[in-house]
Amino acid sequence: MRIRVPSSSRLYIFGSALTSASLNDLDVLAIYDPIACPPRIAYQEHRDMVFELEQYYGLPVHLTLLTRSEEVGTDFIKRTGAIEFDLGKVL
Amino acid sequence: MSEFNNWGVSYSVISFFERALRGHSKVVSFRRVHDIQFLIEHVDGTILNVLLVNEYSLGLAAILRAGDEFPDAEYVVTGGNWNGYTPEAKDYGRENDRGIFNTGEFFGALNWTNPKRYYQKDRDGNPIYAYKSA
Repeated sequence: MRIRVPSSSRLYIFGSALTSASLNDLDVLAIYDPIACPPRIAYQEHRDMVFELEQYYGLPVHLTLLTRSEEVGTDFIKRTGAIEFDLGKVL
Repeated sequence: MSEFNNWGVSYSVISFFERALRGHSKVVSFRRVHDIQFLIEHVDGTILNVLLVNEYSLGLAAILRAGDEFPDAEYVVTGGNWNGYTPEAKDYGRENDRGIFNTGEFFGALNWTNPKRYYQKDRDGNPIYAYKSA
């Protein structure tokens, strides 16, 4: 199974996937580089990845897209306890 | 995930928002269109065009996507007081005449003459924003 992640993006999982055995969806945070991937097209650029993750896990994926600056400004990773999603190890 | 919108807004989030609208003293009526878009009639006679999403942290990419998919929505509200938005998203809203709020803020904004300019204040009167909610 190949998951096409934009090369400048890093993925994290957060939410119920970290705490619950039965899931309704998978919360995924993608930290993207706004130079390589402008915010206006960021969802389009991650659409294939979302589709492939949904196919692989059989769950809807709820994607949060933030630049590194936005992540720092909201302290997202620390507040949610998000953990990096290493697809090389998962798949 | 909802079957009726591709923003992952569940029925429970929508129905919570509807209940709160029904109970708000500044709301005369409202109509839900496109599942997550609301046309809200304010007591001052204006109609507020609101997109309801359910983003834990509403970023600039999500605001731009909302603008592409719902170009007439003047407000983007992320459901739940535990949700928030990024400074970049809020700044974009200010510069482009869009109100960016979480649910609690939005219902406070309805009490202001210009709801888009609403902000909460701390005890000293300084603005506080939902950058680090929950």
